[in-house]
Amino acid sequence: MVKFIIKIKYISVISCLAVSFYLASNSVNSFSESIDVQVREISLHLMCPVCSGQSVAESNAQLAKDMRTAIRKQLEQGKTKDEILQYFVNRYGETILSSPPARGFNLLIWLLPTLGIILFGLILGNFVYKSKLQNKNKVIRDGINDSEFSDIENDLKKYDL
Amino acid sequence: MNIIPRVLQISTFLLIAFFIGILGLSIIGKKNNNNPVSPLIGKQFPDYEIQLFNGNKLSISNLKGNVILINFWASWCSPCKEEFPALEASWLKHKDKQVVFLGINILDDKNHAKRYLQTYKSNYLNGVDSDGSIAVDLGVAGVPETFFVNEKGIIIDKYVGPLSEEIIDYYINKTKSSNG
Repeated sequence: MVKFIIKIKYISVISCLAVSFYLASNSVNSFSESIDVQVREISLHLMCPVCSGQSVAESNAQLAKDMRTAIRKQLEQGKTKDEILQYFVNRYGETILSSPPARGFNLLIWLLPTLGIILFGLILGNFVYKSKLQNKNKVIRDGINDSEFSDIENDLKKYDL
Repeated sequence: MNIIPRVLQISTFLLIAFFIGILGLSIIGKKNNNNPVSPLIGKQFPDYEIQLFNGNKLSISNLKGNVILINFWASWCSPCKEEFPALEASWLKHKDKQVVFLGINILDDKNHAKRYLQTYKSNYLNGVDSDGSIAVDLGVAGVPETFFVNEKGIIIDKYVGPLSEEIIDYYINKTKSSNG
């Protein structure tokens, strides 16, 4: 009976250890996975300084890899996304950001497409207005030949109308 | 009634003028942006421990009291080869005037870098940033890039591109005068 109790004790201790090892390894895996996701998320907001039009997340350049390592280290130190982005802005300037903040001169980047649409609308409006006006004149002249039309114009001039 | 096309024409003209203005500004901005200002200018140069090629370790804080020229380079970089004679000649000219030259190799193979230093017979201090952490921490975007640090450890300037003796003299004098 005593032997049986000891066996059960051993089994339960081993089971507890196995369960806690499984849980611990799972949490380590999910932690590193979540760090990977965060590194990618942050590096998508940064432009690779030595690549053309690629973000730090997309680039295979050595500098981009070094930047991703720096992001990882800072995440492990408990820094937030904003703090990490600010770290890079403090070193490379705002041009390092893939979407510059909408303030100051950068505001133009956000405003220009809207202004472009307005400009296009104005040019189109002008064109439509002019062609309508021409059509209207054409309708007025319908049914009158050229000599009659010039007579009318001369009369209008003559009577200062 | 005739006011509508007039307003349309004026608005269109103003918007086109605005677009041309912005285009002009961006072209002028690009022309003046060959040597972009680093946000680190005016800040304290961080204290890194650098592994030198001669086997020693160097702490930047030990160099305080000197003007420091810190040049980032790589053995594969042609502009770095181009500027190397100017760096060596300037170092000989300034080495006894409380000016320290420090080369930091980045984005490179360590053996290639060693061979490069042997080939070009570098005499000033040269170290390596093997994991690129110093380069990232200083906002280095490529090679060659050079920082000028004054006697108090403040970053006075950053130069992007190959240096000549004249450029080095100009920045060293500027850095020295910033101490007073």
